Amino acid sequence: MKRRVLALVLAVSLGTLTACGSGGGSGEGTAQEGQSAEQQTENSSGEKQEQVELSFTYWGGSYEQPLMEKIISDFEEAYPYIKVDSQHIPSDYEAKMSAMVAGQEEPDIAYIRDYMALDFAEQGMLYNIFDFIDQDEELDREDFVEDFFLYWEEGKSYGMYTAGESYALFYNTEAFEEAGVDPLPTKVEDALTWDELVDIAQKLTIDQNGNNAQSPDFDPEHIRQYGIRFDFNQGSYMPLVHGNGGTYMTEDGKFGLAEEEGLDVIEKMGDLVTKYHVAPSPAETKSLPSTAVSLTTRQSAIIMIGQWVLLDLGESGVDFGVGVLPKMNGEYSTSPGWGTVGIFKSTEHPEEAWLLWKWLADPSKAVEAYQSGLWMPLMTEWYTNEDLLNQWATGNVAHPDGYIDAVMEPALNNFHRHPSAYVKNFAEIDALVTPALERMYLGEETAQEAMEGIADQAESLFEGLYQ
Amino acid sequence: MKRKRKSGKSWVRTILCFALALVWLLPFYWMVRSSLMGMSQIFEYPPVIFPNPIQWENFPEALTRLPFLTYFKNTVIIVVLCVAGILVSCSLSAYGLSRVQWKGRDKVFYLLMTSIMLPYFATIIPSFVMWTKLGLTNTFVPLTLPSWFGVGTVSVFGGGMFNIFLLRQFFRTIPKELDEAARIDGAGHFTIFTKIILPLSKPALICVGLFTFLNTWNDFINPLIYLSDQEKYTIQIGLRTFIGVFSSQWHLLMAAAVCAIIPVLIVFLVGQKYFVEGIATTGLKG
Amino acid sequence: MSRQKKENIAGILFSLPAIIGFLAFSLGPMIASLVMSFTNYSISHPTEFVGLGNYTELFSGQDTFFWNSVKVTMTFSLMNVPVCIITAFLVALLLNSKKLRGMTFLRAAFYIPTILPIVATAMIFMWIMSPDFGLLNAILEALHLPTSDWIYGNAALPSLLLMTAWTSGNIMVVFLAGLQGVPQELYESIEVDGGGAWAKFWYCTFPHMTPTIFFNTVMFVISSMQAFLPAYIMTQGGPNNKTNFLVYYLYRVAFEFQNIGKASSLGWVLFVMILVVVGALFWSSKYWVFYSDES
Repeated sequence: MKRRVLALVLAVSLGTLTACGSGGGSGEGTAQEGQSAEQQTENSSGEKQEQVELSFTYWGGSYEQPLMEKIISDFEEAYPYIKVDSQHIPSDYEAKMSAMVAGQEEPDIAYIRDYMALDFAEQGMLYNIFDFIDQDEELDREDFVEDFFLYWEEGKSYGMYTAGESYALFYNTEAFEEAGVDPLPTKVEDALTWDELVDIAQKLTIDQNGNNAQSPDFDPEHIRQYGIRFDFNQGSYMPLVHGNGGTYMTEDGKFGLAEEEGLDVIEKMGDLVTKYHVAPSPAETKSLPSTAVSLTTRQSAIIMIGQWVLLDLGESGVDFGVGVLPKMNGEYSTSPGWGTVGIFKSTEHPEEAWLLWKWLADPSKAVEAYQSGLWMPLMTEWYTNEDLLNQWATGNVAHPDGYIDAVMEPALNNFHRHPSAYVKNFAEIDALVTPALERMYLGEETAQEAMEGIADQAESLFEGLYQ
Repeated sequence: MKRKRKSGKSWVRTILCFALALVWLLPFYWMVRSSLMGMSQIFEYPPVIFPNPIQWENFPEALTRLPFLTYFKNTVIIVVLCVAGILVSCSLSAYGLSRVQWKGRDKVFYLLMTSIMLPYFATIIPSFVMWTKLGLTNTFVPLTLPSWFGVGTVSVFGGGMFNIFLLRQFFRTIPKELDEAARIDGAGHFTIFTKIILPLSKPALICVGLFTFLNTWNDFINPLIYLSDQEKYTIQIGLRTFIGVFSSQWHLLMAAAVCAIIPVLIVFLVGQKYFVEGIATTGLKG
Repeated sequence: MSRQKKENIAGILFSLPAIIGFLAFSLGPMIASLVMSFTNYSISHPTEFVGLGNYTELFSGQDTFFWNSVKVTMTFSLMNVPVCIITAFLVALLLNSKKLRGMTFLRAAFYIPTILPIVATAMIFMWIMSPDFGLLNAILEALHLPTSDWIYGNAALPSLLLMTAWTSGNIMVVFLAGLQGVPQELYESIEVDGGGAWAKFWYCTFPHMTPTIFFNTVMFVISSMQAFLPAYIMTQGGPNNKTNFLVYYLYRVAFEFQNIGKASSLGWVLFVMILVVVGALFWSSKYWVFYSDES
C-alpha cells in the first residue's frame, strides 16, 4: 500500500514539473549545446596535452549564474586541455568557503569576500596576483585600473575586485519632471551641495495627499514617494565620509565615524530620515527588498547605490537618469563592491588558474555583462579606447546620458576602497556600527551619542590597516 | 431535537474554520499573486490584489533559467532515501527505546536527545571535515546515510531524534496489555513490533514520513555545504539563486517556489487522510 | 538466558540504528566542537588552546553581544513556545472531525504555510509588515488603529511570532495524529453521564494528549532556542540587535568574524541552556504526562 502511494506521488509530481519545465525550452537548448561543446573539446584535446581540472566557486544571482557558465564554457573551448568545475554558491558563501578551507577542499580559484580574502592572504593562503602579471608576456600591471587591486601588503595584491563598481545617484525622470526639479548634475565639478540635495529631496518627497515635504500640510506619517533612498551599510555612507575628508579608522586607530568629518556625514544622513523625513528608515528600506524596484515603482525618486543597479533599471524599462554624489567638504569620492577573485596557494595548477583569472578579468569575454550595467571593466583600455568604451558604456538602455561623467570617470579618478578591504577586524567593528546606526535612525540616540558610544569599543578591536 | 442542535453547532464550526483558513491562506495567496506579476508590480502601492496582466511566462522563465529538472531529480533521490531510512531506523529504535524493558534504556534515550541540543552550525565544520576524510563529500552519502541511523536533517523540528522521540511517545500510548496478550500467544518482539505496534501507529508514521519529506525537500544548507558539483544541486539551492546581492528576481523566485511546493502538497494531501482513518480502520477496541 | 537478559539484548538490538548513528555521525563532531571551544580555532590562523578564555570572554561581558543574545533568545522562546503550541492545538481541535465539510481543503490550508520555502515566506512577511507600504498597516489604518514598525522596530521580536505561528503546521499535524489516539468510547461514556464539551476535553482529550503536548513542547523549546532563519533572512539580528538570537550570533562569529573557536563555545553555552530547560521539562513530566503503558 505504502509503496503504491509513494509511486503515485512520484509519478504525479514528476509529471507536473516536467510539464512546467518543457514550456520554455530555450534555456534547456543552450544547456545542451554547452554540453556538446564541452565534449568536443575533450575529444580534440586528448592527444595534445594532459587534461587539467580546475575548481572555481563564485556567487551571484540568476543573471550572473548563466552568464558565468557561458564565460566558463568559452574558456574551456579556448583551452581544450582545461576543464573547469565551476560551482555557483547562491548564499551562505562564507560558511561554505569556511567548510571547504577547513576540510582542505578549497577551490583552485574563487570569488572571495574582501575581508575574508585579506585574512587568507595574510596567512599566506593566496597568491600575489602581481607575481602572475609580472611573468605574463601578454599583460602588464598598467593594463589594469590600478585602484581596483586589493592589497594586503605593500606591492602584494590578493586580487582585483570581481568587477569595477562605482557609487552614484540614480533617479526617476518622471518623478523629477512632475516635481519640476532639474535633472541631477552629472559632472563632479557641478555636484550638488548637501543643502541643495536636501532641498531637492524635499520637493520629491510626496505624502498620500500629494503634498511635498516643503508644504506646511506635509504628513510625514503617510509618505507615498520618498525623495532619496540609500542603504545603511558602508557602501552608502563611506563614499560621503571619504568625500568629507574622513575615514573609517584612522592609521593610529581612531574610530573615524566618531571624528568630526565622519560624524558630520552620519548626522546629515540621519537628518534625512528623522528630521526631514525625505528618506525611508532602515525599517522601510529592509521591507522593500529591492532598491531598483523602489525607483521603478516611484517609492523613491532618487537612489544612492552602486552602478550594478543599472542591470535592473535597464531591464525594467523605466526612464531614469544618473547623477554624481553630493559634494562634501573634501575631495569627491566613490567606492566599489566588496569581492575579489583570488587564487589559492594550495592549487596544483597555478598556471591554469591564472589563465582563468585573466579570462574573467577580460571584458571582451563577456561584453554583455558590461552592456547590461552589472559590471564595469577592470582593464584600462576599455575606458581609454573610444571603440572599446562605446561597446559597453554608451548606446544601450542600461547606460543613460551622463553615465561616463557621473559614474565612470569618478571610478577612475576619485576612487576610494571600502574599509572592508583594508581595515583588519572589519566584520567585528561593523557589527558595532550597524546597530548604533539603527539606534540613530530609530531616534533613540543622536548621531553623536551613537558614534561616540561605540568609539572606545571599536578602537579596542582595531588591529591595524593594510597597506 | 438533539440531532438538530448538533448540526447547528457544526455549522458554526465550519464557518469558523473556513474564515480562519482564509486568513491563514492570505500570505500564500500573496505568493501566488506575486508569481504571476512583473517585477515592479509586486511592490506597487496601493497593493495590486489581482495580477493584471497575468504573466504566465514567469513560470517557464523561472524553470528554464536554471536546470530545474536536474535539481528536481536530485532532490527526489535524496528525499526518497531519507524518508525510507528514517522510517525504518526511527521506528526500530523508538520501539527499542519504549516497549522493551532493558537496563539503561532511558539513560541511552536521554543521551541520544543531547545530539539535537547543540546547534547545527556549531558542528558543521567538524562534520564537513569528517566527511571529507571519508572522501564522501560531493556525494549524496552525507545527505542520506545518516537517515538510516536515525540522524536527520538540519531542522530540529522534524529531524532524526525528533522522529524517534515522536514515535516513542506514540508507542507509549498503546496499552501494554496488547503486547502481553501477544506474548502469551508466543510472539517475539519483532512480531509485536510489525504486527501490533506499527499498524497502530499509522498516524505517527505518516507524520514522520511527511516531516522527513518536507524537511529534506526544503533543506538548503546541507546540500549547499556538502555538494560541490552543480549537477548534484537540489531545488532549494536553485531557488536561492533568484535572490542575489546585486539583483533579486522576486517574481521568478515566487514562480519557482510555487512549483517547488506542489510535490510536498501532494504528499500531504495523500497523507492527511490517514490521520483520521488511522485508528478507525485498524480498530483499536480490544 | 534469563528473561531480563534477553530483553536487554532485544532492547539494544532494536535501538542499535540510533545508537550507531549517534556514535558515528553525532558524537565525533560534538566532541570536536567541545574541544574547539577551548581554542582560538579559525580556518586560516594557527590554533592555540586558550583554556576557558572563550567562555570568560562571553560571561564577563567583554563580549558586547552575548548577554543581549541570551536575553533575546530566552524572551523569544518564552513567547514563541506557548503562542505556537496553543495556536496549533486549537487549530488541530477544530480540524479533528470527520463530519466537517471541506476537511481536506481546510487541513491543506492550515498546512500550506509550513511547506513553503522559508525564503519565499520571509519575503512575503517582510512585505506584509512594511511600515509604509505593507498590508498590515494598511488594514490597521482602515480600522483607525495605531500602526507599527513590526519586525523593523521595537516590536521586532513579538512580530516574528506572527510568522512562526503561521508556520506552526507541523505542531498541528502532530496534535492531529495524537488526537486519533483518544479513545472514542470514552467520549461516549462521558456523554452518557451528561458531560458537556468542556468535560470531554478536560477528562478525556487533555489527559490522553499530554504525551503529545509534552513532546511538542520539548521539541519546540529546542527549536525556538535554536531560532536562526528569521534573523538570518529577515532582520539580520536588527534593529539594534533586538533579534540577535544566539544561533544567529554564533553563525556570524564563525563565518563573518572567522572565530570558530568562540562560536563553538557559544554553541556549548546554548547546549547547556537547552539541557537545563529540557531536563526540567522531563522532570516535570512525571507529574502531568500520562502514558497508557504505565498504570
